[in-house]
Amino acid sequence: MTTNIGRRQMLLAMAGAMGTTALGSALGRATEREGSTADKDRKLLFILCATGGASIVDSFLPVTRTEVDDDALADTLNVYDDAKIITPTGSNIRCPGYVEPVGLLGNLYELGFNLDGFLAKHHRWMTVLTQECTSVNHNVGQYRSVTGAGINRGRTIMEAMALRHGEDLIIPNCNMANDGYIQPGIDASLPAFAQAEIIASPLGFAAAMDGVKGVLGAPDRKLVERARGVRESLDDASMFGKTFADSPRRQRFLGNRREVQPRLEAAQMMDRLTLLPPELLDPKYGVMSSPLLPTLASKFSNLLVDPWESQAALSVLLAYYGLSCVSTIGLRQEPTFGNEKLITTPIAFDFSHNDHRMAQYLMWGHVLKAVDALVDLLQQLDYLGDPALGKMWDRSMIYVATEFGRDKTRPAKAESWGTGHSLNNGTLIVSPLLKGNRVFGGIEPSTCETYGFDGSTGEATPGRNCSESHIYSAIAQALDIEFPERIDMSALLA
Amino acid sequence: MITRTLLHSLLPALVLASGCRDGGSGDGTGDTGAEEVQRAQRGELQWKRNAALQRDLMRALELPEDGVCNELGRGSCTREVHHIALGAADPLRIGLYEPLPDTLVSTPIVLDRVVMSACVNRANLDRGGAPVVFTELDFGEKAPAEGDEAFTATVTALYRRLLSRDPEPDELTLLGGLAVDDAGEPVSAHDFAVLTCFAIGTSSEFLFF
Repeated sequence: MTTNIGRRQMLLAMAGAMGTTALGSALGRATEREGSTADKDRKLLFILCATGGASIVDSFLPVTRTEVDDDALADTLNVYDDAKIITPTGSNIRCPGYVEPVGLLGNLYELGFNLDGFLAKHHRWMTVLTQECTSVNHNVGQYRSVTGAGINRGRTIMEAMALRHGEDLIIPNCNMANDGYIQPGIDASLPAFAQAEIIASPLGFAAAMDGVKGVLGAPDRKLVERARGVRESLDDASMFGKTFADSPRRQRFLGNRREVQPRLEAAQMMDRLTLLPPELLDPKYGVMSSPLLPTLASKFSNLLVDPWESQAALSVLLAYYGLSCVSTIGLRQEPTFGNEKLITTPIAFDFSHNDHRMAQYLMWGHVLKAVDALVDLLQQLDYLGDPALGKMWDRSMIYVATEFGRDKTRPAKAESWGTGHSLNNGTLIVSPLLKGNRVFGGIEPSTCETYGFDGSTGEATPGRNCSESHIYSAIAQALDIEFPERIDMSALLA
Repeated sequence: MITRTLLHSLLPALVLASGCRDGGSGDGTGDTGAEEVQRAQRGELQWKRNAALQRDLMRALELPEDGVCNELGRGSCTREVHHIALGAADPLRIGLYEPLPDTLVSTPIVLDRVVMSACVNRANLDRGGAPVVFTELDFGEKAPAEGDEAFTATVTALYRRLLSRDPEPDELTLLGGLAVDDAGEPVSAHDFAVLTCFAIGTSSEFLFF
């Protein structure tokens, strides 16, 4: 660890000494330089937080009526008619087909994305892992889904990722999610650079990349630089500065101002990360839309109104421009409007309390629409714009995190019902780094409860449980993150 | 226990207060006596967070709430767009019930934007009407030279408004560098007003307490 920090500090110092930055030269660059060793080996992690309890039984591990083998029992379980289940050609995974909006609120929603279309397109990259989580409290479940219930010294997988792959990056760990998904880990020894940069406004984040650009009436940048130089001298010379020279809080602030801010401004990150289209940018501000905005907008058509899409779009830019190696995005609690109807439910997946099947299908569709867009974009874009580094997808993992599952039962023959929280569930990971088109673990039709598997062999065994720590370990192993307590999950690796 | 807590809380302030004047070092040589100041060993500074920052800028520069900073015309910098980087909680939108303990990478950048915007707005108001803060500047002229009465009065007014103290002689000297550009030519009075306000308003002394 000492070595890592030293290297980071050395790189920062070099960047300052050269009056430019590794980032600056790496950007605008496309083919201006070959990727560094760190660039070549770096992995990228995208965590999509399916807030509210995304049930694997209602996505990629469904049970059919006939599998239950008892009609009366099937009437009381969350099972699907056999005809409703679709297994696309070549897929070893299946999912429910279109779910007709029913129930009191059925006509309020607009179903925009089908699960089977996603499965047909992406099954070769999809890995389903069963799990039994350890809390049905939202915040606790969310937190444990990213800490593996504390298996790695209390570090979140994002922090571990930043430590492993982000030492050369300016903001390696960007978190746009919410609630338990944005809580920091509890490892006090974690270096500051690996801590999350919390982003609440993805559409406005670009402005946080430049202290002057777009501020109307600001003096010429050369004069501002002069003022900054005077300010630094004032800060060092003042009574306050000398008295509190050792304040960690002040040191951290000044460190970022003196070392990181010049790198970001030199790299013109504000123009690269701006997600607002030209028609929403008054020319008087002198700010440009991201050069990648047309590409992003072709996949995220609602990014100006849907925070989920704007977060996902920003996560691509952060990775593409070499700012971060892990981005976390989260579903908001408030519903999102489409053209005329709602495209998400209130309180996201947790609306299952009111209308389980409708909420699950709608929200899974919403989540998978973003996954689909991410995969397409990552497969299209060269990492750092450098063809020599290959496509971003080749080094990427998309982890659909959720806090827990949902109850597996329903009132007899009910077509619209509500469910509570359940420990039993599963997880979806989409990545070329894992064995795709696979379900690890299984499901017992008579209960709709999942069971676990052996991470080293992949063998599924009824009665075995895999927990958050297994999911964390699988992600970590695929992303070259080592720690002593890591569970062997080598059977999952591609 | 309460007494001990109070002592711990007040210690840095007492140390600071004891070092505020060193018995007449105002000879303009740059010796502020700061070398004699003992470093605060615990250094437990508090971060002036978004709402306090906004209010302090409103008070110091006599600006209305919407006159501090509006990000690209799309919303308040301090309350809507950059509130997390400026130390706010956001329980309703993202479930951040307690503000972050420490500044983020983007915090100094955002602070630059907020203070720059507030300073520009104040300078524009003073240029266009009865001046409130930059009362000694003639906005139709170049910046006053260091040592001029208008220079000292302007800097002193900003120190009092933003930092609640007078500038030290060496601070006046340093800020003299903002009256001219890199070529040594005087800048406009407007630029001088904005740059001086910006340099003082983005100091760590303004952000932490």
